[in-house]
Amino acid sequence: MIKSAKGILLSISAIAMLAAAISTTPVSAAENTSPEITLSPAKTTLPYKLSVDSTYDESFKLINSGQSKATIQITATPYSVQDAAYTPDYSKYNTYNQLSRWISFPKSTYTLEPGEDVSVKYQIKTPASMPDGDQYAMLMASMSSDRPNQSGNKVQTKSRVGIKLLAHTNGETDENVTVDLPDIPAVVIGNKHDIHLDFHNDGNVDYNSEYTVRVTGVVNKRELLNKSNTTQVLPDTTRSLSISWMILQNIGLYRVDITASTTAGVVTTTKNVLALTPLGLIALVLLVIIIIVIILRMVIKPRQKRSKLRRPT
Amino acid sequence: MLTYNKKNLGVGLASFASLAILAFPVIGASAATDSADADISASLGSVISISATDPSSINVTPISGGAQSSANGTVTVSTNNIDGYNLTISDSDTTLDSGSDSIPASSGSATAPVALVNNTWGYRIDNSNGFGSDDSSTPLDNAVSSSLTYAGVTASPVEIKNTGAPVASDVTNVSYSVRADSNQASGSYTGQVTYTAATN
Repeated sequence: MIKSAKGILLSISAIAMLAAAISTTPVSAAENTSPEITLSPAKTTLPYKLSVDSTYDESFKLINSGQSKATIQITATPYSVQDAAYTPDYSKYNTYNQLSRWISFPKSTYTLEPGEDVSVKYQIKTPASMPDGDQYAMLMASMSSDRPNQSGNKVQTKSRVGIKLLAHTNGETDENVTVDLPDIPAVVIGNKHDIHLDFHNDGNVDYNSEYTVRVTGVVNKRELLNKSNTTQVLPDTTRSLSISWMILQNIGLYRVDITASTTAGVVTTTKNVLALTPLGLIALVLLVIIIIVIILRMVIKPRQKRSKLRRPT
Repeated sequence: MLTYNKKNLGVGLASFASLAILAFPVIGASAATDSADADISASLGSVISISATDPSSINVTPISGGAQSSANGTVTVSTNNIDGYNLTISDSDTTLDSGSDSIPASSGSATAPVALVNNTWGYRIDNSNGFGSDDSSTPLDNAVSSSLTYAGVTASPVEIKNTGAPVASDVTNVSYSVRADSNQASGSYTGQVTYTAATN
């Protein structure tokens, strides 16, 4: 009886200690109370063509989706790319991003409470003379960090999020997009192989190229890769894409099919490829050596037997 | 006779091993699965959002050989855009300034970051671009030396993240560091970097 009472007490003590331990475990992270800006749509194409000397009224939605009050600045910047990897640039002007100069905002600063949203209005007023082709701009919403005064060296941050805006103009259009399909080697060694596609847009309008890269086993017809996508190629740019094919078998014979649409039509390339992992290559070399050894033994052994038989006793 | 059998056994085992390696898939490789598709049609508006936390103050007590401190910030992006988003970092003047004094950005780049030299500042993102996997999550506090490599923030945007698919609350940790020796004038140096998120 005493023993069972002791047991109950010990159990209660253990539960109490566990509960205390849980209740005193520190909270691992503080709740993120930073303001957060949300824009909708994330990118947009105007559903009409811009004409010279005209005015168009548009809007987008701005939301403070964070936990604290935010003061948000609205601006329009040019949009272009720095390189074939399409690293964006938001400050350099060219023929195709004059649009940001034509955009104005009746109101460009908004102070929003958490959860509050507004419709941000903007106007596009086109000049008397416009370049032919497409026009791009970024509609930016930004907020600067609002930290309490601190001593010491400070790196403050400005968070900016943008809507990519594409507008077609009524000018003359020139569509000229080509693609460089990869020269796939007959033998590929490694655990993955990157297939590169380079799209060149020498025209003055945007082009969306549809491409498919498919890798199928020649023997078992199993599909290892089937990537279909659409890539946007801006005027006067080259866009390079890299698609990785993971080599899952140590050795395999595969059929690689690549198709891509261009302004001149769909281009296609097909190639059969022997793919080996490094381990597969070692095993293959070993197997070839073994086969050679077996063949040599099959040739040499009967000769030895024959020479033994010929030897006088 | 016995030697002959051993040789045969060895050749047989080696052949079997070679064939087994060739026949079987790479360990850890996932197998393809069959699936059935059901078509459900719905239209959702596209959105993109950003939020960031500043690094705390980076306090350095310079010594003749140089001392280095760091602080960490984050930038969080969400988007339902089918092609994901890209995130860049830039700074129009690239320096940290205190009145007429300034600390220039490191000469390292995101693809070829370098250890900070005295009187420079920079950023690093572990496991991104050329930064490598060294861990900068624990801030440096007047370290005499550090093997961590940094890039200087440039006026042109540099891509620090690119996702090819929709993401929810995708966090990028950015570490900022300042290294100074006793030649650098004392003061509170400040600068502002800009994170820009846009859809692909």
